[in-house]
Amino acid sequence: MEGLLRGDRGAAGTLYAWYGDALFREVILPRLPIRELAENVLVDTFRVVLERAETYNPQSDRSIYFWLRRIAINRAIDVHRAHHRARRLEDALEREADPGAAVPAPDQGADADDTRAQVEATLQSLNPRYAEALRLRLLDDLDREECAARMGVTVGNFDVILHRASAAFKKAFQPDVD
Amino acid sequence: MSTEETEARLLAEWLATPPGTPPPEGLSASAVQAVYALRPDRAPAPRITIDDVFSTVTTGPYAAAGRRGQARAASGATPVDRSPARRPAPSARRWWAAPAVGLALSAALAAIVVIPVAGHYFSRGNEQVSQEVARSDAAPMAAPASAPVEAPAPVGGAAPPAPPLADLAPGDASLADPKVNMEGAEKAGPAPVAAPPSLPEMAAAPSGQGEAEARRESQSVAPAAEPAFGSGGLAEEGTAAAPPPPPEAVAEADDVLAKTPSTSTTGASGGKVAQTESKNDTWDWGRKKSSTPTKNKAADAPAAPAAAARPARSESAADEEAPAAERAQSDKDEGADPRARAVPTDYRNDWYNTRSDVAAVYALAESQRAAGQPDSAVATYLTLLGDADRRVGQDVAWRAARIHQSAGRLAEAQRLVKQGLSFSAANTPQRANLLVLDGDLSLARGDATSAARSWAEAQKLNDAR
Repeated sequence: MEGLLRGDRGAAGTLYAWYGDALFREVILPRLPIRELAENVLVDTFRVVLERAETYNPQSDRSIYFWLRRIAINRAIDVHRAHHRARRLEDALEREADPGAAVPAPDQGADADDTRAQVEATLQSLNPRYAEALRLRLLDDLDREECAARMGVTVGNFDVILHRASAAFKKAFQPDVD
Repeated sequence: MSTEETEARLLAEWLATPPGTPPPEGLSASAVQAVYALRPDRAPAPRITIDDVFSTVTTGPYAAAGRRGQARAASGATPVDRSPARRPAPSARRWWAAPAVGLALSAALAAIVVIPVAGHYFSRGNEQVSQEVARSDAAPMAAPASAPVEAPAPVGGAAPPAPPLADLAPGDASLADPKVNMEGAEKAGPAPVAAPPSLPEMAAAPSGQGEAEARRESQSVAPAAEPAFGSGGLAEEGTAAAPPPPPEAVAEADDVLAKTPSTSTTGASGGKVAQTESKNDTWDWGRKKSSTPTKNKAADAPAAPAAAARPARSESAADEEAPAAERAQSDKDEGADPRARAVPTDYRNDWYNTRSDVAAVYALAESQRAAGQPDSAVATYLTLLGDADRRVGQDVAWRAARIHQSAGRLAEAQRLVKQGLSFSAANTPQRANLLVLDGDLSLARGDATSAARSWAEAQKLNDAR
């Protein structure tokens, strides 16, 4: 932190090397699964950190990573909402041009959180069959055939269960209170 | 097929692709978000560097760097320019701009002492060092044998410490926190492997592979589309044309190849085997030599006469493809072991030496590991995880995963391996190493099918290089 306050480029580079990848994969992308937008958020997050390093408060921020994470979450939510507003505008314009087009589903917003504990809590809150499908395929990394065999269903049925489970997980995954 | 069935099929197909593959068009964002939340290692790595951040800063102590970025933008370059062409050549890059410069300075003295020692870890002939490493591997994690190894303070100031694992939230740590479910599965399952499984030696690779190795060597020096230590990871992603490697980097790589020592061995196959072994030393890294006769190619008597009978081959990159008969002989010699051909024979332990910052980090990590501080070694290696050269990221992920493997932390090791694999799909020895380790870990966890798949993929890469 002292290096950041001095404008030390090496310190900034070290901070990015430590946390940039983890922030991108575990904080930003689960909220904003569009790579280009997520990269913009990552750049923006570190820009804020470099411009306002003096705002870091060890007492309230708990740790440097949590401080970065909070900034990244807020930026991701802002970009996600702006992106979806733009998308809704585009969809509205398209509907004007094509009255027969289907009305898009309401935007659920960026609700995902990234902590491992919340992942586990969310899995436990799901339908057990959905949780089992997600654990087998994504956490235990078994292939589809093995997952289907363990759950006693066909491979095609397992794919559908997994897809439904993913949607259910995403809905249940609670956002941070920042 | 209904929309739901279509999306389910798309999700299934996407999950079968390597980590980092973008999701297919038509797959719902909620499914993608759920996958990224549950499996961050499936997410692609960011394609930006700290320089991209500097160019956007307009206030505060880094504002001068931001203004320079805006000046570049005014002259035509984009402010957040992810093109690899924007990176200055290593010789032109200001030395203080290197991310690990503080660590490099602090490890300079250690490097003078440690690099020769670290090199011995990779030498098959150095039993004493192998035993030291084995002892350090066996040392209990909670009670390191000695005080933490700290490099002397550099002239310019204190060295930045390794990323503080405790700094990360218990539920967040990508560097230290294994998947919850995998931890639970490990606790319920068989006892974790205290030491890596005994692996077949790479020693007496038949000379039929010799010219293939020479070919790979020449190709690995300066691949056409991949700069030496530039944005190789971007090239294969198709984001921009990669610049040619800096001349000095290519020249240095040539020198390193020319100087690669031939480690003498007791193998009956002689010089060819010795040269092959020096490239395959990685699989003795941190472990004792295998004592299983059938796995020790150098001591495999039936193989020796066959190898000795083969004609000597030139090391020149212009050597022709091995005759089919010799290829078949090499296949026969390696037996039915699917793993044997998965191990890359063109990986060199000193491949990173043209970069002093990387070499310093490696030296420090090895010194920590030798001092019985595996956690510190892992953390030190992982400071390079986000390096712009994806080979570096993959290599440190592999090395750190090996340390986890030695400590019996298979889930964490495999998580790191998968993260490393997601960095780049480029056909490199680094990627092959990760795939082999992925197979080893899958096998140790009882999943022979996945193990065979990973090894087969590594073998395909090796054959294609």
